[in-house]
Amino acid sequence: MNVLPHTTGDGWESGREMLAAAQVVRYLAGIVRDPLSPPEFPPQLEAVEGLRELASSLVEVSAFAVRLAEGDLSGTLPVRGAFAGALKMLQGNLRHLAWQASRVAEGDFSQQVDFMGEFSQTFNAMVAKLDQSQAALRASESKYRQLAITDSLTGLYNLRYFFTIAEKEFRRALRHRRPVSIIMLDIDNFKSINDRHGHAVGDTVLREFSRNLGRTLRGADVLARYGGEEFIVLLPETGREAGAAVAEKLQKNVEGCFIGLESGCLNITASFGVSSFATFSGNRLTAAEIMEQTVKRADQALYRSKNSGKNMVTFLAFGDASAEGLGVGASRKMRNSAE
Amino acid sequence: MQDRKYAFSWDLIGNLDIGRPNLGPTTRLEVYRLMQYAFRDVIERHCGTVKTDTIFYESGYLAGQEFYRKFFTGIKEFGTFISAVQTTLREMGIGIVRVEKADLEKKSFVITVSEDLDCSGLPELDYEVCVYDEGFLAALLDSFTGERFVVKEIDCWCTGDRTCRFTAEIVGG
Repeated sequence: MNVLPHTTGDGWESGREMLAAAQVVRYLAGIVRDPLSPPEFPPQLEAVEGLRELASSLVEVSAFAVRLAEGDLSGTLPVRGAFAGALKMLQGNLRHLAWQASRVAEGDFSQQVDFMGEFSQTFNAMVAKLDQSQAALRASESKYRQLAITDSLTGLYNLRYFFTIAEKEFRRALRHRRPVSIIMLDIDNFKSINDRHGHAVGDTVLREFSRNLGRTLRGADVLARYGGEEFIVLLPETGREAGAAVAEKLQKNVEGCFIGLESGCLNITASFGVSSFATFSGNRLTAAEIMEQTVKRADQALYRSKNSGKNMVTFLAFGDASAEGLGVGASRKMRNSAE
Repeated sequence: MQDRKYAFSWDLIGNLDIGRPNLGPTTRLEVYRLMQYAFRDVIERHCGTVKTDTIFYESGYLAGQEFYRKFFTGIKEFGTFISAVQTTLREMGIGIVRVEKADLEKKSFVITVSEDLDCSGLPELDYEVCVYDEGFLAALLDSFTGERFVVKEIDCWCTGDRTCRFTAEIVGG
């Protein structure tokens, strides 16, 4: 591209040519200085070969650079060459960064920048920090979720969470006409343990007792602390006989378990009440009502075990009204006073 | 076609641990380009420029398909796929891949490859040269999405740019 007039080794051939060259320089400088309002193409420079094309490219490159500087990454630049190429590379890097930032916003903390110098270090540090913060938040959430559903002394589920699971299980049992059993159990003479050995020993007994129960049950069974020294177990897919068998196994395990204390070994026993729901024909109760009734029958069965000498298992059928009149509240009150 | 001698197979890459105990798996980039552009010269003399471009695009496509099968099969999430492509292509010295735009709904992508194997450092030629890369990228996207993409290079080192930029659009999109 021949932009300037022919020159000799000694310089410009004439003052007129020098004047024309100065006009070209002024015109191009005008484009560079004010890319938003580039000067009109001077008609007197029409004869300069390639100048209009160069000026046009310069206008496009300048306008593209301004848009880039203002943060508009959407522009296109048809001009080729190193100058335009460098700007397009910057545009490409910034657009990739924007894409990476959107990935980070979606939770992809593997994004790393290895270009654009100092900025990349800051970006990578920010992503690493976000990743750490998210991990800490997840751990914290998990911890508080666990605390919200467990009993702090025994580590077993608390009652609220137990009934959340139990209600789902009873709904499932009702839908698929599958049996489900509830065991309620209570450590015998726990008050006397507290009185004789102190509450710290009482807490140890509760913890050891809980561990022992947990070891005996299946993975699908749900064990929770009902309150004080009382516990409840949900046995999915378990009918009357199997439910009673599980309770008997638990009773034997508790009976054979000795809890080591500084003053010697302590042998405890527990009383059990079991009830099962497996009668679907003619039933019009909701899952919540069935659950309530099954728990109530298991509690009444437990009361009978307590009143019949403790350290035993009693089963009461779902429809067995023989214990009516000894409601849950009543049986609990009587049991507490008995101890 | 029957009795083909060189239908692609990874076996053709050979066992480099056994075969090159001293030189290992790498070679000088000049040697790769020497072979690529020698092939290109001869094929172009035999077939013309348009046909040669088609052959290079299809070769890139075949390589991309096989590359996808070997390294990226089983990846489901787009971001994970891109990360894997970036890492693999960088580790193998093919190029530095970056995504400028990824519209998964419209199936439209803008991808750049810096320090590209085929062209970075070539003199300015006033036309894009990375036809093989177009096919390679198209095959990666086709294989991942299960749909057909057409990839076009819009900026290239050889057009004075310092990074190669490719648009990828779904066919008929």
